[in-house]
Amino acid sequence: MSALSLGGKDAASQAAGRRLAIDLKWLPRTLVLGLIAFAIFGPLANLLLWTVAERWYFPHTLPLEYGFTYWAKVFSPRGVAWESLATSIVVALLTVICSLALAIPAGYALGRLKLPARSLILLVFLIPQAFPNLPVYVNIARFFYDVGLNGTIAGVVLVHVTHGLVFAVWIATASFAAVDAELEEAARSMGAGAFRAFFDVTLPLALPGLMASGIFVFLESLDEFTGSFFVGAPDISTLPLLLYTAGAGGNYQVASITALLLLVPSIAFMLVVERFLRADVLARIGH
Amino acid sequence: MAGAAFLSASDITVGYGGGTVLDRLSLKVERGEFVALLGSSGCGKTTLLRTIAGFNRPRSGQISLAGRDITTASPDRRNMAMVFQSYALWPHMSVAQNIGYGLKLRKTPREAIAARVGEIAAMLGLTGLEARKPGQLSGGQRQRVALGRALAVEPDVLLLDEPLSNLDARVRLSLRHEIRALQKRLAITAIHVTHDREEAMVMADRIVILDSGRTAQDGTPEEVYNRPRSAFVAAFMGAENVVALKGAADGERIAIAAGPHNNAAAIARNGRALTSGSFQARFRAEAASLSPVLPSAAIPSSATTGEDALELLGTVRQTSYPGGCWRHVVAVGETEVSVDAARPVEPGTSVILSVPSAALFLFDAPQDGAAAVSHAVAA
Repeated sequence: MSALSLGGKDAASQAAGRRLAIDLKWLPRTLVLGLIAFAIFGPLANLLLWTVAERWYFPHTLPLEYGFTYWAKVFSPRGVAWESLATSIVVALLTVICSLALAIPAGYALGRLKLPARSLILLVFLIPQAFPNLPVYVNIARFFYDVGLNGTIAGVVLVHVTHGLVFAVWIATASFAAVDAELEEAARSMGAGAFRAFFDVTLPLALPGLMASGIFVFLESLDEFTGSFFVGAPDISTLPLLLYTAGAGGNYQVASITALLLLVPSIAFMLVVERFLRADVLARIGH
Repeated sequence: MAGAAFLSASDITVGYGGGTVLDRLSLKVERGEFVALLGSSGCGKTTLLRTIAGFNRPRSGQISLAGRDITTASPDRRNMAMVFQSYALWPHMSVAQNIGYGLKLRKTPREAIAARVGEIAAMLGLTGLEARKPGQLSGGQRQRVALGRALAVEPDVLLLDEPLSNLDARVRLSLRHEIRALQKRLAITAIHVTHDREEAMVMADRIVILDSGRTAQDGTPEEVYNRPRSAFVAAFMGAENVVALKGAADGERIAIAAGPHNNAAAIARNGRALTSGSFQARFRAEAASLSPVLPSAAIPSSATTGEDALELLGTVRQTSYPGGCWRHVVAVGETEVSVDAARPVEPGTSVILSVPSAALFLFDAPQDGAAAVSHAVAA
């Protein structure tokens, strides 16, 4: 009887020890995850705080006063934010239109190409990305001065298109390659001309990928700084340029609010892209 | 062009890059005829179909339809409809939209399209599925939609590219008869590509057997089955048993000399193109009859001469029951043949195989042996 109770007690203490051991094993993981979360969300939290901080200076960990006066200032009818936002969106939309106008025919042609040639051409499209941006943009700016494109919307759009076209063509190629050529042939066989077959069959089936491609280009254009700076500033002010000016001038509230404005469409579109761009489409890029 | 066929392809040569797939091939199809293009993979049968459909342009030759030269016409201007092996149904369109697409292109009024789609769906047993997307259908149903889509436009020629090869055996068998019945009822001109001999036999009015880009034989199912013009066709039509013989072709009779494993025989020529010397004999497993012999009688002798039948001497190696009849693997000298019989014969028994003249296919022995032909069929 006593032996039994002794044994029971022993088992209970053993179980408790085991539970403790498990907890200890989880500790490093929890710490690592916490650090990662801090690295990702810490700056974001700081940014959010700055957007609502009225007064915040050195020895204080948190703002001394909260309020929305800077929001009012940024979005006042004569504030620069509205203008920059409008410029940014106009530039981004024009960039998307130009990029897709080029990427759809290019992607269709590449998507129907046999494999080795396709990979090679796609690789060639990547080469400009391998060069450092700055010297390229400085030279573009110099050239644009000569032809009068500097400080114009067209100039900035052109720079953004050269940058966004790589993504656009890559994703468009993958989307078109994912559409079986036989589906188009079936339409031809039913009596559809080449264009009709493309618009009735190939384009609708490639559309999700093309939309994702457009969204990527839009976001890239919205975020683009270097090219806009060299070609557009000071005549054209996009949101990243406003952010730069505000940040450089020590106006962290305005900079943070601008940054937040840039962040919102990025996150919203990322969620959309995630739904549109399925893995089987992406997998076609290299195939 | 006197008496030109409804659809005719004359001397067409098609190649990809450096290679030639079709070599000066000609094909004639009459109105309302069901022609099967039969051949092993890589023989060019699908290429021929795609060339007729307009997806490949021939390097030389001419294709005409109802007296009109369509050699360079684009696929949408030929009034042909193709049913693809993969079905190629448009996944973003419903069954009704898939079937009605061709009519929509022809600017048919909406109500007329709906009526025709309903009619086709009823004919193919698809009623009630019109609103579904192809992804929600079974293989057999998809096949019917693909067929319905092609039939809806009432094409001059219906092109079928191995339409049944992706289906279960049971669905395939029933669809065979359905397609054939439909084709007869609607009097459609159809070209059917297949590698399945039985499918071609059951469905077609005429079979064209292709061998590496050329026509090996062109005839009714009964003709190509019973009177193969070459060893290739005989092998493709199931006469897989090969025996080498020697003999002389003389007038209306063919005298087969007694060999180490066969008795002498006299066979009526019956239109066989043969020159004296070495022959290759081919026959089907079910064509030969098998009878056990006493060991003392199993000596070849020129005294017994088979009349209108070839007698081979061999030993049973293996006996199995695949269903319906007993299959025996019989060693005749170096080669092995398979022979069906109603009753099993024990392995090790010496037997006489008798192949009647009507089921015996004789050809001049090929220069490089029979092996090459067997390989071509197996490939």
